[in-house]
Amino acid sequence: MDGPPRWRSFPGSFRLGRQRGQRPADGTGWSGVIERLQAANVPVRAIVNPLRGITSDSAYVASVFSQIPGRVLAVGHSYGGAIITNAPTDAGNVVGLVYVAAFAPDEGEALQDIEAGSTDSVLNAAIRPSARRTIPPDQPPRPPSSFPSTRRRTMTPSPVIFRKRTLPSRPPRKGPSRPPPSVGRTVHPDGKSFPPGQSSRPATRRPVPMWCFQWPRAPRSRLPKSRDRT
Amino acid sequence: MATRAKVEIAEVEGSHVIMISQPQAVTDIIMKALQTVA
Repeated sequence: MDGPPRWRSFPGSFRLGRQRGQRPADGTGWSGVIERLQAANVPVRAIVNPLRGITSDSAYVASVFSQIPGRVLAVGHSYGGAIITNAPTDAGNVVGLVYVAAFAPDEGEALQDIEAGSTDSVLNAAIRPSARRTIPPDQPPRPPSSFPSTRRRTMTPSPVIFRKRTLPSRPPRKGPSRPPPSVGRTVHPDGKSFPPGQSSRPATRRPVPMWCFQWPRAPRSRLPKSRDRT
Repeated sequence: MATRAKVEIAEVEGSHVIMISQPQAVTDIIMKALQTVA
């Protein structure tokens, strides 16, 4: 392809089990995709996702979008789906959205509510109280928890359950089973596995075309009968 | 979510970080999207 490319893709990555204060998602998970897109002469940028909340993250990503000359195809993974849903409002040059195993929230929806109501997510069912870490008592009050205060321990995805349900194709490893680093983070007992905030814009009725990469499919034998599509 | 948003859906086996486990499949749908909006 000759001449300057016209289209730019902006993957937004996301780290599972993150908490506020953890390092942001740096987008390196997109390396394989970026290499392929660049090989096709598609200019790509991986935007660092601050993971501070839908409102501020969307504003930041929108500011990056708006500084790019030309039209933008926004690509979001997981939590990044909520960001590309909201960011185009402030950036006028987004012409399409691609959700890669991503949230596509409706207006006013919080991701925790989507996750809680999903029968397809394997994260909630795999979370177990951690025996090692507790939440310091001087931490500020948090939203109402479904766990009693005496059990306000941090929650950790059960390595065995999580791995069986999320990484069915992963070859077995020798030694003790551990989750991969990206999914082994502790999760707050309030279920705060997502940055806070609600979507201010619906993923439906978007004025731009959208594509959705379906939540990855596990082997049929390991799936519950009822599935909620993302 | 995908159904109510009336989006075009692609589905493949893999992990949640599908762009790592199936980068070519993800690239394909991004390229398809690019061609559509071009």
